[in-house]
Amino acid sequence: MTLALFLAIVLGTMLGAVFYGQRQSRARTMEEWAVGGRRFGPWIFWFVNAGEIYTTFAVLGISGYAWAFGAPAYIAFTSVSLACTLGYWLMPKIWAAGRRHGLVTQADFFEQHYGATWLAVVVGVAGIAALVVYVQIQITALSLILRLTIGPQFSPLGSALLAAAVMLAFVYVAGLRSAAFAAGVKDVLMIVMIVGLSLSVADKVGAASMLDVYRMAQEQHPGIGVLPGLKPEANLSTTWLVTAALNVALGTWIFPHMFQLIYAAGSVEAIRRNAMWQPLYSLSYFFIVLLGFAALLAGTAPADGNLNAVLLQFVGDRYPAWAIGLLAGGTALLALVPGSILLLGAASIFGRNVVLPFKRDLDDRTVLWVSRVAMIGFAGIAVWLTLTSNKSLVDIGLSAYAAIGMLAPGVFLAFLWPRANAIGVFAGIVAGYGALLLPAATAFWGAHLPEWDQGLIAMGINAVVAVLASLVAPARMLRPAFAPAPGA
Amino acid sequence: MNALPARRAAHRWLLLLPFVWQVGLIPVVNDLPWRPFGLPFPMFWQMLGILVTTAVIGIVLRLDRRLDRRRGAVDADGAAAGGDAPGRPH
Repeated sequence: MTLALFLAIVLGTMLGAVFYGQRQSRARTMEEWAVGGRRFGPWIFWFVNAGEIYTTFAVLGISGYAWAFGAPAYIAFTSVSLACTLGYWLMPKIWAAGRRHGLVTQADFFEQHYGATWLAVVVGVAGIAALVVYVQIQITALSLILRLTIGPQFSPLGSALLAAAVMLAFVYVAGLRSAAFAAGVKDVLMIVMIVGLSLSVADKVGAASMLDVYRMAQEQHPGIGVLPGLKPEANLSTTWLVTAALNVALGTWIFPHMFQLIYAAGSVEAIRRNAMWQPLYSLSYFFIVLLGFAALLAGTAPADGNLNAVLLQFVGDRYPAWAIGLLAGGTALLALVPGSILLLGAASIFGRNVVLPFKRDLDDRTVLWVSRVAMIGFAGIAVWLTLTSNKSLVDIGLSAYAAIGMLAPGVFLAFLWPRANAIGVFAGIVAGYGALLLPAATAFWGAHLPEWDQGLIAMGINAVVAVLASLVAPARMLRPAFAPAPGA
Repeated sequence: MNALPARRAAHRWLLLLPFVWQVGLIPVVNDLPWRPFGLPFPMFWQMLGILVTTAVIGIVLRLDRRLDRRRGAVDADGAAAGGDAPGRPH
């Protein structure tokens, strides 16, 4: 029963998506495959955007965080609306640059704006690295779902490989448009599922109503509702929430796949309306946090204390088999859709910005082919990362944001400060990664600023170094760093 | 045409409000004992912040549309993109 429902949902959606994608148009060019021909209207843009924001990170990760820590899970309420507020200002600028110069990837943007192909190669590699970490989240979740629903006989390696294979199959058959269809199905299914579970959750834990669940949780677990939550030693304080939420908001649109999604929008109006309505969607975290708290009240004990498994374990314990089948199918789509868009993003950057600069004579179809082959490699690296880490989805997610945050100063400076140049941006990126990755640096932040999100610290250092280096960079080493927009 | 770019985009400073609400005031609201609807106050505050954000963006969107109509251009932003944007937040 569980398996049948799971397969029906996943396969049905994939078939529908492929059919939809084929009917729309066959992707023969990079532009069609990677940015959907720049024709996305408000609805399709909404669903792909939502698909990228509401991943397994949101549902399995946040419910697990609520279960383990309590209030720190509120980061889910904070980050989406702040990202949209910033996006309202930032996205139209990226969109306009993409349209004016025919940009397909994020690295294209750096190449065009800073007039430096070498910087685009650096940015491309950095972007791919962050995307692979984000794919890791989806593969971790998908392999967990496979093991919990289909059966524990699946080894972690087997289920991770299967998860990666399904993701690849999905993105090979078509491009961004198919993913948009699947994102729509997945959104509707997950909302129905989460609300359905929430409506019946009070009964399962002996509460009178949903709000009563919140009341009981605060009574039985004092401190759960306010920061720093249930585990003060984890340093998830108000300072943590402020810095982590800012880092997520600043980093959201800097992800290369988000850049591509912005290019894909058909108009500024679609982007702006989306920025206005998208925050309301994140009110649904009320239900996700509710389920996390309910799982705590019910004494849910996932194997190995795995935070990511809390929701699935709770539903498996307390609900009928069809409910876990639906949830497993829905959350599998939650991993598959973003996972395939992430791989698509990584692949298009690799083809255009890492391979092409070294072999200028390749035609568009060959680059597309190289990109598609490279995806297998990226999926493989993500599988390998999955097997070597057992962290919370939220923690992996925050490290992906920290990694991509290193490209943020280069994007913001491009729109705010005409003097920013390629050398400055590069120096900032190097300094930022140093602050983020060097063991001495992380130990220093851990000792002196234990409650700060380290990604935000590194982004700040990156920005300061980028500005200073831009000021001292010798002008003759630079090609015109700033091409004024025609007609501006 | 763009004689007063700073004043033209001044309403966009409103976009700082969600940041003040949802991040700036976190330390202030965290320990308030009041529990509206039985919810922990900081959670209630964040959910309210989401409504505030949509309202603020909605207002800015209306003002931007009016601006676009007056300038007769769909992509008012396009003209500013790639250049500096004085008088805008961030």
